[in-house]
This record gives sequence, C-alpha cells and structure tokens, in this order.
Amino acid sequence: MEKDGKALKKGKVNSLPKLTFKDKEAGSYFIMGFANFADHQIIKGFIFLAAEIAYIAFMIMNGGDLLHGLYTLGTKKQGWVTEPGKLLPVLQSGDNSMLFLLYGIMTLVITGVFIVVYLVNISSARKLLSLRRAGKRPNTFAQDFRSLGDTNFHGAMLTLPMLGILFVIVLPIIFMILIAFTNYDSNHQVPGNLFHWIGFTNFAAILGANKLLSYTFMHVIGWTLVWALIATFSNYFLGIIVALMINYKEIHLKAMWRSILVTTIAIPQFISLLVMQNMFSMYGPINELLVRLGLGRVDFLVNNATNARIVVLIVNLWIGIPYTMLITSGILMNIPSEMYESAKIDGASPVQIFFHITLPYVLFVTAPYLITQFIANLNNFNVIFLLSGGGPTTTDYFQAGKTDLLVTWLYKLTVNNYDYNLASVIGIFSFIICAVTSLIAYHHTASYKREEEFQ
Amino acid sequence: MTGKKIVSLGLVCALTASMAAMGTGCKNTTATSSKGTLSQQSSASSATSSALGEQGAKITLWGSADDQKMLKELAGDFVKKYADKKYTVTVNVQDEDKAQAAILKDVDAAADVFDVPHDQLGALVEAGACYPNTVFAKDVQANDDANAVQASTYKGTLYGYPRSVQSIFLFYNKSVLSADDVKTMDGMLKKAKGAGKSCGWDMTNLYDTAPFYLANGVKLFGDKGTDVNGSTFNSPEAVAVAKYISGLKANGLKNVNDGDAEKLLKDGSLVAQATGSWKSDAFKKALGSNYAVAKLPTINVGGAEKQIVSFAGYTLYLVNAHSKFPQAAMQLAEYLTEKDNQLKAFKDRKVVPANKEAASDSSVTGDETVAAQLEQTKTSIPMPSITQMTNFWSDSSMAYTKDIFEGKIKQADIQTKLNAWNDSLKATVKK
Amino acid sequence: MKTANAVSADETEKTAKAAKPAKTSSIRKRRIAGTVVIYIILTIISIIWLIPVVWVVLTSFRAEPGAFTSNFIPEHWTLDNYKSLWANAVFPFKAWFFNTLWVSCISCVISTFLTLSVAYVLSRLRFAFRKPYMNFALILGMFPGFMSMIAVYFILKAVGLTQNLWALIIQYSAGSGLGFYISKGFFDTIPRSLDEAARIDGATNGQVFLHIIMPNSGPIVVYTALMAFMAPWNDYIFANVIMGDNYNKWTVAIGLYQMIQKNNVYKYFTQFNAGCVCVGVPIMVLFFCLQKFYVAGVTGGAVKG
Repeated sequence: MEKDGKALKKGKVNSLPKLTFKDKEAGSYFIMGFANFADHQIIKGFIFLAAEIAYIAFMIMNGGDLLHGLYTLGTKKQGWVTEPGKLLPVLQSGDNSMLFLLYGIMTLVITGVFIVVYLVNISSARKLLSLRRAGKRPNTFAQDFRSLGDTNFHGAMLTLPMLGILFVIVLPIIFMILIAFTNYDSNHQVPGNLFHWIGFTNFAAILGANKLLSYTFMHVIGWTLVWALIATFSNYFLGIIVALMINYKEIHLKAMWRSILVTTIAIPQFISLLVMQNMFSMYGPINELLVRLGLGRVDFLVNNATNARIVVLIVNLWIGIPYTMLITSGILMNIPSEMYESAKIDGASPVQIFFHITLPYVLFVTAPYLITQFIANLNNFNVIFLLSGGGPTTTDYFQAGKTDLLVTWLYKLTVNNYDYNLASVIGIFSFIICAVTSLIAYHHTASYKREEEFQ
Repeated sequence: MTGKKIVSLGLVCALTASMAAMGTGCKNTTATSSKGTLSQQSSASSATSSALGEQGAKITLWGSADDQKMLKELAGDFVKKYADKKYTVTVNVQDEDKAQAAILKDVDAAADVFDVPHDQLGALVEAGACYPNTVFAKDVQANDDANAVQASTYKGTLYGYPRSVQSIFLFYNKSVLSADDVKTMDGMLKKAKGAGKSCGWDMTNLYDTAPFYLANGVKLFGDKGTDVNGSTFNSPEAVAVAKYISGLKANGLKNVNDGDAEKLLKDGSLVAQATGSWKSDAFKKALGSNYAVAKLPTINVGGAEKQIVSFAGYTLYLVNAHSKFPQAAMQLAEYLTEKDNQLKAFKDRKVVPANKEAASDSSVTGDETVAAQLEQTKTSIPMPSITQMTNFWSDSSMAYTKDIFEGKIKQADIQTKLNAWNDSLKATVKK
Repeated sequence: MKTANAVSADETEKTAKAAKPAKTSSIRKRRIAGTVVIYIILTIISIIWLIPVVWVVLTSFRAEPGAFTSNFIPEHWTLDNYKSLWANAVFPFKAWFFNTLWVSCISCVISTFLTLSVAYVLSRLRFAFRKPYMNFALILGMFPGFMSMIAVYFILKAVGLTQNLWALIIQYSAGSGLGFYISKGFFDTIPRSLDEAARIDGATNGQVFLHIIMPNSGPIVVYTALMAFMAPWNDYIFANVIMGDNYNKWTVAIGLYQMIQKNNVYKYFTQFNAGCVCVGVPIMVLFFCLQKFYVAGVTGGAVKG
C-alpha cells in the first residue's frame, strides 16, 4: 500500500485522462466543483464552488483596489484643513503606504492559495472522469474524510502548519523583501507620508553608490563572518573538551558538574548578559580584580575594538559551552569503547585519540548541529546587542559600531533610525549568506545523504 | 489526489477567513477623525469653555509605570471637572523614552494623549502623528518660557503642552570640593587631583559632551535648531573646544558612565559627575551627607571662562492626530499641564515643572537638586527636534568627541574629522 | 575545592583495582595527576559559570537598592524584594507570570503536536512536495525577524488579535512547522519494521503515529515540548510589539525589561533580580529533570545510527 505509494502515485498522475470539452467534467474549468456535482460528490463540489464565489466576490469588492494599491502604494497624503474663521484644524486622512503594501501582498497570497484550490479542483475533475470511464463509484465525503487518517495523513497534518507558516512567516518575509525596493525611510514615515517604489536604488547605495554605507557594509559583513566562524568553532571544541573532562572515567559527580554548567541555560539571556556587561565595565569587578593583582585597568568594551571583540567572543563561550557540553557528552558515552582500547594498544597518545577517534565521531553525529550553530551565530543578536551594544562606536561606520553584526546593525537602522529600506536590503544579504551556507553545508552532511539508508 | 482535496478544504476556510479579515482591516485604515470644528470666538483661552469637547469621549493617556497612581488621580479629577461631558479616561503604561517607537508602530493604536521627550517632536510630526495645539496656544505662550515654547514648536506650528524639563548638572562630593571649586572645570579638576581623587563625565554620550561645544557658541542646526545646514561643528570655535577636550584626560577628567559613577562616588575615588536628575536618588545614597549639586562648571576656551551650555530636554504632552476625540484629548493635555497639577506631579513624583509659575513655587525651588537643575536650564538651549537629530545621536556621531578625548584623533587631524562630522549631521538623503 | 583530597584518595583505590598488573606505577601516577588537574579545571570552570548566577540570587536578597554596587555580598539581607514583587501595584508581576505560564503551556502543546506530526509525515510518507518543503523550511527560519514584526502585528490586527494572549500563542506556534529537523532525525532511526508490522495488522498512518511512533519517542517529545515551553519566557521583542500598552497582558520578559529602564533601574533593580530568580528557578528545575531527554533530543537518533 503506502510503502510503494510513491510509484503508484506517479503512475496515477500520468494515467489520469485529459479533460476535453466533450466530457461533462470539463465544466470544472469554469465553475469549480462542477464535475463533483455532476458525479454526486455534492459536499466537495459545494466546497469548491464556495471557494470560487468567495474569491470572485472578494476580488470585486476589495481585491482589485488592494492590487492597485500595491502598484501605487497610495496617492493621497494625509493633511490638515482649517476652515476660515475656525481655530481647530481637521485631519484629512490619507493613504497608508505600509498597509497598502501589506494588504496588496495579502491579496497576492490569497490569489496564490486560490490557484492551488483551482488546480486541485481540476485534478479532482480528471480523476472523476477516469473513474466514470472505468465505471467505478467515486469516494463519498465520509470516505474522503477517513482517508485523512491514513493515505492522506500528510495532507491532514501539513495543512495547518503550512497555513501558519504562510501567513505568519512567509507573508511578512515577502513584505520585508519588497520594502527594500521602496523609499520607506525616516523621511517617509507613515501615516503622515507616502512612500514609493524606487527599484534597486537602495541596493546600489549599499553596494557602492554611497561610500560610507558600502564601507560600513563590507566591514560589518567581514566581522560577522569572522565572528560566526570563531564563535562556532571555539564553542564547539571547548565544549567537547569540557564534556570529555566530565566524562573522564575517573571523575566523580558527573551529574553535578554538568548541572552547574546547565544552570546558565535556564537563565534568560538578557539577564545573564546584563550581569556580564556589569562585570566587564570599566570599573566593574573584573577590572577591580586586575587592579588589585597589579595588572592595571583594561578597557574591555568602550574604546578598544580588539578588546571588545575578544570580550564578546569570550562571553559567547560562557553562553555556548554548556549547550555543546550537554549535547556531546551524550554522544561521547556512545563511542564504542573497543575503538579506544585498540587505539591504546597501538600506542596512540590521548591527543591522537582525540583527533583520530573522538572528534571524527562527534563531528559525524553533530554536523547538522554545527551548521545550525553557525547560522545562529551569524544572527546572534543577543550577545552583541545586550553586551556591547555594537560598540565601541567609530567615526568610520554609518550607524554601526565595531562589534555590530549585520543583524544588530539592521536592528539599529530600524529601531533608532527608521530606515526600513536600508535595513531590509541588509536583511536580504544576510539571508542570502545564511541560506547558501546552510543549504550547501546541509546537503553535504552524512545524515542528509544517508537519509534513506537509515530506514 | 483526494488528499489534496481535503487540503483544499482547509485552504478554503483560511481563504475566506483572511478575506473577511482584510475587509474589516481595510476599513480600519481609513478611519477619519472627528469632524467637529471650533469657532475662533469660543476658543478664547478658557479651558472650561463648554463648546469644546465631545460628549461621552473615551480617551487614553500614556504614562510611565511609576506615574500611574498619580495620573489616575489626575484623570479622575479631570473627569469630575468636565462632569457634564461624561468623559472616560484610561491610563496605560508606556515609558516616554520608548513612546516614539510605540506611536510610529501604529498611530491608530497609540494613546490619545501621550508624553514624549521634545526632541522626538519632529519625527512624530513628520509621521503625521501629532495634532497641532491651536486651541490652547495662548495658554502655552503665557505659562511657559521661550525655551519651552520653542521646544513645543516644529516648523512654526505649536504642537506640545510642556510638562517638565530635564537637563544635566553637576553632582559632587562636598567634603572634597567646595561650591567655589565647582565653578570652573579647571579649578574642580585641580582640587580633586590635589586630593588624589578624580572627576567624572560620560564622554561616550553626546548628550553630555555636546554642551562643551555649545559653551563656545557652536551651533547645532542654527540658532533655533531648525536649519539643516546651520551646524558649525567645524568652526574655529569648535576646533578650540576639541583641543580643550583633548587635554582634559591629562588634567584628570575621567570617562565614567552613570552606572560606574554610582560605585565610584560611593567608594570615594570619584568626587564629581555630570548627569541628570534620574540619578539623584542613587547618588544621594552613594554620597550620603557629602551630597551636593551645582550647575555645570565653566571651561576655559579662547582665553575666557565660558559656561557649559547643556541641552534642556522638555517632556511634552501631545495629542494624537488620529484621536477619535481630539477636543477632549486637548482638554486633558492642557489640564495635566496646569500649574497646580504640575505641582502635584512634582510633589508625588519629583517631575520638575515646565510651567513658569510652578517652577518658581517655593516647594520646587526649595529642593537643592531641582534648584541646581533649574539654575542650569537658565543657560541651556532646547535640544533641536528636526528629524536630522537622528544623525546627531547616531553611533558614529557619538564617536568623534569620545575619540578626541581618548586621544585617538591626532591634534593635526582634528579639523578634518570635525569637517566630516559636521557634514554627516546634515545628511538628509542617505542614498 | 573540597573534592580534591577526598576524591583523589578514592581515585587511587579505584585505579588500583582497575590497573592491570603489567602497568607500571609511573603510568598510574600520571593518571592520578591528570585526574587532579581535571578536577582543578572543572572547579575553576564551575566558579566562572556560577558567579553571574550567584550574583543574581544574592542581589535578589539585597536590601540596598541600586544596580551598581561594588560589594558582591549584600550588606543587609531581606526577603522584601520577593514580597513586593509579588504584591506590586506598579508592576503587576503576578499577572505577568501567569500570563507567561498560560502562553507557554498552550503554545507548548500546540507546537509540540504540530512539530511532531510534521516530522512524522516527512520521515515516513513520500509525497510530491516533500523535498522542496524540507529545503524551504531549512532556509525560511533564517530571515532576520525584526522587520517582519511590523507585518505580523498588522496581520494580527486585521484579525482583531493584538493585545491578546492568543496572538502570542499564534506567533509562537506558527513557526512550529519549520522546526521539525531534529525530531525527523529521531523518527528516521525508529526501525520501519515496527510500523510495517502494525500496518499489516490494518493500522492507519494516524494510528501508527499515535500508537507506535509516539510511545517510542519519549526524549524527542520532551525535548520539543521543553524548547516550545521556554520560548515565551525569553522573548522580549515580539511580545512587546504585539502587547503594546496593555500592561496587564504583558509577559515577564517585557515586564522585567521595563524594570531596568533608565528611570526604574535604581528603584527596581533588586526586585528585577528577584523576578529573574522566580523565572529562572522553574525553568532550571525543568531542565535538570529533563536533561537526559534534552541530550537525546538534540543529537536526534543519530547516536544510534
């Protein structure tokens, strides 16, 4: 049944007859659900018909205007009118470009959903045609409904999550991407102003037309990549080493050591990072300690870019090591002890054992985790924003500091400056970097390649 | 294939639901404001004029969490005062510092009356979020000083109802420094150095460092803070100040942020710090009986002692342009800024009044901290509120003075760097 | 530090037992030295990791107000911070706590169910858009969320759900169809022979999922639920945008963040720390109890493979 469903399904699709206008089912091309009505699937036919009517009604009543609004992004500006002899001005509402954009995209998404329903309607008609030709009875609604628990389990289980993703994640992302092609910046805030489509101007500005902006962009990207690489691998290796130490067979109270580190996972990051910021401040406890030891005060976060970069990396270790430790200690316990024994008999040193047995094994298992961590570090908002705030500030960058990542820079551009368009361009670039890296990396991991072998 | 049909059932439901939602959603966006207008004659400055105000208006007021109790009392009194209008006032929590972001997120959902620091006025007006204050304009002009009126005005139109004023001033340890010592920067630093102590200033924050430049007549966006091209941060006067700042570190001024200052004042290694009244409770605790305050010292530039000119920051009540009941909202904003109510705000919450009469009340002037701040604001200029202030407050703009102080910018490069800074301030189009 | 002596004696005994006669005593000595070094390192690490935690706890019992003090140990101890936190008129922490708990529980149930069912479908069934969906899901989560926040806000507003706890639940659950990777990896390792046997007995896919796969997936269920449960306690940015000024509906993250703003920090800092302890302790306890599930969860079933 289901195990060879794949082959079966492929065959089915190809074998369905073409709808020609000689068949009554072809009515479904114009009136959705026509074939279902004709072949006694009343409820299903009604659902299709209702969808068509609802969509057409929506497009006539709202949709057309909304699509036009997406094209113009509004034409009427909000303003004030004071009648002669009166003191109190009256607000004349204008168009809200941002909502025009959002609702326009919503209309497009709804149209997309409607097209999917339409195609389903057509294929339903084709299937009914083939059943009629074969002289079989079509499924009743109750049968269809029952199939949800079995042959169409994927349909039942994926619909809701996909709708959630479509409206709460995909639609907002389209919205954000499109803002990159507008002049929605601090000078064009809604509802007082309109903004417009301006094509690739923002991309050009960031890629070179505006020297300061492109200089900042290149340097922030550079630091983001360096940060993500160092942060990911330092966490990873040190985490493994800590796990190895805890798992060392002569060490007692393993659960206690592990729990101590895990404590930090349970504390919300904005709390622990606030504490860290206080500790590393110019006159904070760490500096007091250094002074007492006669080493002198160190400027960790305020003025010295190199120091600040090192500090954020170190604090990131504090955040990240417990996770790696927790994950790898489970794996370490699973390494077959014979592998170690035979290596020892061959006279391998502990370092050799680590690099030739432990690391490859752990790496093999945790490759997907490593990729996720790399991406998470590219977008590591919390550590940078809550610890250094992107500082030290510099006169060389546009609205960014020396430890700013792309993600914190774009946050500043939106929250402090309201330059949504620039932030959006940066978001797109950041997304491209992440997506390309992870797709390539993920498709090279063993767990992806060997997906089918496992089962 | 049947699977897809079932999926389509879900899709259809979602389709219908979202279409219905958009139908209502779009209607919301075109909500028009009240059409009620008011004739000039009936407005004549009297707040009790019964011609003003919508019957049964429901309005929302924003205030910080700590102000809630006081604001609810005031709102209750307000409703009683206009009992014939049957108003309803709801007070919700929104810190003034974050109000701008909350308003710009969705003007329709913002409160009818909210308070913001006045330097955000420009951005809010440009975004179409503020109702002009025409009805009570005369009251504002009569009750508040020129700086407060300037702070409430944007591009020639009055918007705000001034509530309070803030500025930085000097906190110091009177067991080490005398009132005479803190009159000049050099005197203060010398005395502190002699006692083995140091004085603090947050050199990373332009709010605290720009006053050095202003002392020597450097202009930020022109005389009135309205001219995009009017900044003179590369003038000879500015260069003189920059050079003065570059020497301060050697003379013993320390770059200390407010948080660290609290610790250092307590352990006694720091004897002075310039900041605002929001730190007064903490500093009082840290300094104990040695707590003292004064206006900011003078600095010696261009051969003369010049008073450091801080920014005066006014908190303004504003009426939401999209308010459904703008007249009642205006009455509330006006009511909250009346003399007696500002005095109540001072009594309950130490909100320094902007109202001239209230500020000269003995209960206000009797408080040494407030007196020092008011003394400082006499020489202050209101922060400009034009939208280019975001350039001024940006990270890179903040970095210039800090780098000069820390000696990261060489003496020879000061002019070039200041030129770049001055240019960056007027950037309007970022493309 | 107490461990060093006591344990090394213990260790010697153990090593002695384990040591093969052929091994020389110098190797044994080296091993003991290694163990001691590891103990020392672990102790130092533990101290470093615990300092901030201890600092938060100590501050929550501190009687002196203010955020910036040079003394680590409070001068005066008090329980008032906790008392006033839970009976606070200005900041209704109690309401916030139960709001967050409610949102956490509901969104935990919804997203656990959605994530696991998606994972099951992708692991066991083969259908046309399976591979594209998986690639799509992999990259979709990588878009920086800040800018789409405003769009989400207006979408929720269009359906009348802003300033409502359900809006948060939707927000936290909507993405659950994307987070299936780890659980799918786990399901992949459950032998197919199990469900095939059940299917021969006439079980439907739904029944296989509920009666065969779920009972064999304890760790992954716990892991998914734990992650979903923790999200609302940490999220400040989205919750703030959606809840706005309706502060009785706030979650603890927004509320706590409010307490450390410039104007509040001096007065409320110790209460803030008390709040952190109240939030942190339940999560910490959950974590300790479910640690082993977490490990099994993150590594997927890959360990077995």
